[in-house]
Amino acid sequence: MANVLVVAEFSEGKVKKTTHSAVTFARTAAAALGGTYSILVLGSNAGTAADELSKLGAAKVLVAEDAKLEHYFAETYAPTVAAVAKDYAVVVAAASAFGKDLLPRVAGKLEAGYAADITDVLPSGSTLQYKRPMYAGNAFGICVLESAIQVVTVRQSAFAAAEPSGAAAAIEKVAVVGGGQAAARIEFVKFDQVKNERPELAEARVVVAGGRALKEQFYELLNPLADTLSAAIGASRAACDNGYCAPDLQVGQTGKVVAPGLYFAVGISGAIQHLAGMKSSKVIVTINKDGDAPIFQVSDYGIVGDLFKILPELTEKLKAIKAG
Amino acid sequence: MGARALLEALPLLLPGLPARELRAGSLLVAREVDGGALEVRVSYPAVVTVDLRVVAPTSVYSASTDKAFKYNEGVRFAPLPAIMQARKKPLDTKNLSDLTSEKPRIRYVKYEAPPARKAGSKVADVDALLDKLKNEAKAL
Repeated sequence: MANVLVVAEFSEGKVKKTTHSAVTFARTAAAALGGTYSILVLGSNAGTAADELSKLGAAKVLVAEDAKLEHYFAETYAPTVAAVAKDYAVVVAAASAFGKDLLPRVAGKLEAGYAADITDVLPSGSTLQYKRPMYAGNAFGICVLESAIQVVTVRQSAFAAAEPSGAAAAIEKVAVVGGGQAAARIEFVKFDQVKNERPELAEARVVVAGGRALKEQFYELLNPLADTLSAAIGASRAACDNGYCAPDLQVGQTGKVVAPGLYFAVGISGAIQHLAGMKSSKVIVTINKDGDAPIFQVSDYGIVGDLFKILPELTEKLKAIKAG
Repeated sequence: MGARALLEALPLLLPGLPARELRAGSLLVAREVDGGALEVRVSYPAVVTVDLRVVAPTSVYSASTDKAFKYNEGVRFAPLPAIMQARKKPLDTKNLSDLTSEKPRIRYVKYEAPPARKAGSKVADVDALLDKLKNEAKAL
């Protein structure tokens, strides 16, 4: 049986959009393998996600519900995912913080091959070839996995979100498998949530990103522009590491990979690691005082000048356009 | 212990932030995740990765560190005698086949260069930028 298993990302009672990208991959992969795909969701109240997931055209929605799964840890989730995955040919999740944390452990337990962060799937006969970025996006490697079960994570920006389709899938409960020693050694203490009213960085149509140059005025300068454009805020690693902004705003090789329609790089010089996370954006606008900064080489439009003057002017004029 | 057995036994924290507190048998660590900061306690043995802020002046305390002690800001350089001693240590080279008999499960069939992105134009001021965004890129 060559079926595909999608591991859904579910938190705070909501199915994350990342899941829909993984489903898009699953549709292509299942069609190429002549099989179907199912969706697995885990959590202490995972049952509430089942209805929503059942509309995505899957053969089955599998629900693993247990109080022990209240807080996500790869150590507690992986055993159940691995147990369910034994009946599938391909296991997939989005390459979000969740997928990149969970699936390597699943692959390890299954002694399966793992292809991370793939941007395309190329069916070649009955085998699947995966395209994935290497060397900070400076090359693409096309690989095959040589194991009975294949585990992949997909880059969210490279796979469009799946629309609901087909009849409602059957919902089945699956047994939760205990986490063993590794899970026993990790214990939840607390979670400090930071409220964010903006669109999700990885899904936003417009991203306004700031770098080290903004200093302590990071939010003060970027918030008005982001508000005007209903944009998500991103940042370079330097801005995050210096504490000018929240760490989960980081765009780049070690942060989020984004591909919005419009990307503003404000005071970002454009280190290769940052470019790896935003180069696929459709239109890139740069504001930087150094005209030789590498970011200009990937920008569609650039202004060389003082961002502390340009940014407020840009915000004001954009507001006028939106209002008019 | 084989790799698989290690995986079964060990929790792995990625990427960990400064350890807040070391206790006999366990470690309290903060970890940045989407939407906030998570604190977890792991008991030994565990694998922890850290980011560069682990070298902040008050990041790490062990049982023998005075609570009031502060390291200097920035990179902690190894003292020269320690570097000299380290250089004298024997280097042991091993073959991969001596360490594991496992075969890679991933095989690359070909490599491709990514589509090149053309450098765009520089514009003089905000008005010119907005004009381009509106009329040329139609991004607004």
